[in-house]
Amino acid sequence: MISLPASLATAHREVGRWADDLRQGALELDRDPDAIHRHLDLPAVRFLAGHQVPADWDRESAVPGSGPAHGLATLERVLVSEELARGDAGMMLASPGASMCGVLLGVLGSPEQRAWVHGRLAERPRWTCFALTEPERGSAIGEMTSTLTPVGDGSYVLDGEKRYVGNAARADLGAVFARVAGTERLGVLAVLVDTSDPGFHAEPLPTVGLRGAQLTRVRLDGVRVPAERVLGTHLPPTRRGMWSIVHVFNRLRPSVAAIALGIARAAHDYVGEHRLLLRGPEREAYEELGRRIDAARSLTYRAALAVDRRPSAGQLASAAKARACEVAEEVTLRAPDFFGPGARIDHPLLDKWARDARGVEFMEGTRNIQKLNLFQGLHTGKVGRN
Amino acid sequence: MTVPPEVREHGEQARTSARTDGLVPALTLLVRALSPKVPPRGPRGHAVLPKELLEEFAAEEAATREGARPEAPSSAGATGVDDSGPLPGLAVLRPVPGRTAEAAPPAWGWALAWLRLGMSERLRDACLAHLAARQSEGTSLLMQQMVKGTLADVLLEHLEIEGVLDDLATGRTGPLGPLRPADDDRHLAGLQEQITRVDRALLRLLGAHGFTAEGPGAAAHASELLADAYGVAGPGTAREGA
Repeated sequence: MISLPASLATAHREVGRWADDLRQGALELDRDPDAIHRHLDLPAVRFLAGHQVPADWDRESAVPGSGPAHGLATLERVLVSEELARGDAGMMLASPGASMCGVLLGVLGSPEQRAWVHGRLAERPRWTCFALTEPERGSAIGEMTSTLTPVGDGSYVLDGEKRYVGNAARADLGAVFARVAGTERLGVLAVLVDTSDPGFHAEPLPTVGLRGAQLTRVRLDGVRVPAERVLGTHLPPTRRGMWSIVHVFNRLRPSVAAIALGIARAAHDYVGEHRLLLRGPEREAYEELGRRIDAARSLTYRAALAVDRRPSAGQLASAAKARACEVAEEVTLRAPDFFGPGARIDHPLLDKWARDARGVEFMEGTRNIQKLNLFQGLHTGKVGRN
Repeated sequence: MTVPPEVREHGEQARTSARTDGLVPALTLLVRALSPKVPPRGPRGHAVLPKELLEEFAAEEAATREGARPEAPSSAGATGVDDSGPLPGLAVLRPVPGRTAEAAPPAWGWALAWLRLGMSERLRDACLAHLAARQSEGTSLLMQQMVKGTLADVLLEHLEIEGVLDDLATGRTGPLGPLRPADDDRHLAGLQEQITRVDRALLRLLGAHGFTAEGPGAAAHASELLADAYGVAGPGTAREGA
């Protein structure tokens, strides 16, 4: 473990304060995902949109989308995501900004592609989307059926269907994963799309929780993808495609764990704030949940650092994601018990968190997928050697 | 709490030794490092110790009592030693009536948790090797989905325990540290329980092989006895359980 760089510690404190504002809009957004438009001036939302930064937000360079000067991009994302999700995960996920596309661009984007995306995001609050999952195939990249058909000049035509894509109905820009027509399992590319282009259709998909994220079904009917929007073509062949895509997901997974932790902390803090006189077995149960959160947090931070040190080291990230989602479900389901029957009706935030916790399970692969990944790491000696 | 750096260091060495060499060598290492003069005893006077060290402790005690002959380490009456230890080379000591037991050194319980983690990892290694060598319907048992899932669960627990022990050892504060001050005794008891639960999951994967005295299950039993002997005394247990 390392100590936190001073600049990141300062930024973390400020983002933590901004997070409290997100809570104010949580229930409104839960009822109406479009309510995010009424909260675009909140510092946390402006920060996610790329229009405001906390003090000591020390970047590698002045180029928009640059990573942190301290080099711990994944840990930074984890700390920020945890704090903002503690405020409200729905508000955080509903906010405009580069979001997961930013991470993808950081690995696979050329300077021109980053400039194009971040330039457009700088104009006004704009949403992006990240289209990976497919209706019949889930998120298994090797099974993907959406197709990029080469036109001959380096450009492609994109066809297919995506499902459970956050913010796609309100996004201006998106990243889409698809297989190049005629290639084998590993012939998957990521491309940037302008959602106003003909053939891009997005329709919201009502959900039980995390409604702010506004999951969407996306249909791609002959969307034209110019050569300059194909990600990774400026990289050596060994660094394109699956190699980079795996690294992107390794970087994203700890952030999903952090969102789960934020939800768990929100529910746990709520119990502490509203049940001031916990005693005996109740106090023990409350403290035990706190220890579970702390243990999952520690695992998540270690996972983030492992990926920052070596982007291929995604096994701890799988462990952290699986454990954090488990803790989020456990804490949010047990929190209402501290208030007696009817708690989820009398305390709508408790009900909301219990629903939201279900949503993080499906992001970046379910618990079983993470465990299979973890087993693979154990079997091949990539993790658990000490 | 912050575990003293030397305890952390010895605990980590004991973890490594437990995984590579086994319980008795690891425990020998730990006792020699943290309690070289007297047998470390639990809150109610019990101990689980390498027999080799008992002889050393007896000799040490004799040397301090002028003219007295060393007590035989296996005489159950005076020293409370039970010869039928759970593992070859390991002895169990019961409390000696009328004699106040020496307390275990500070942070002994945390160091033991490192050791037990190493033992649990050793059990995991044995499990992987055993299951890889067994076949069912033409496939290695290791490659069965449910087995994979259980082993992933075990690894997840091990990784989490390692992180918690590491955090406690370094006494980390600030954004990367624990959110709340821990009740040390309860925290330690929870970790020991977690290690025992993981061991039991691994033993289930080993089937009857883990139940034989010659198999890896015996060491898991010894590890449970360590957690029991050096556990945290609950309110009233010293009085009512005596």
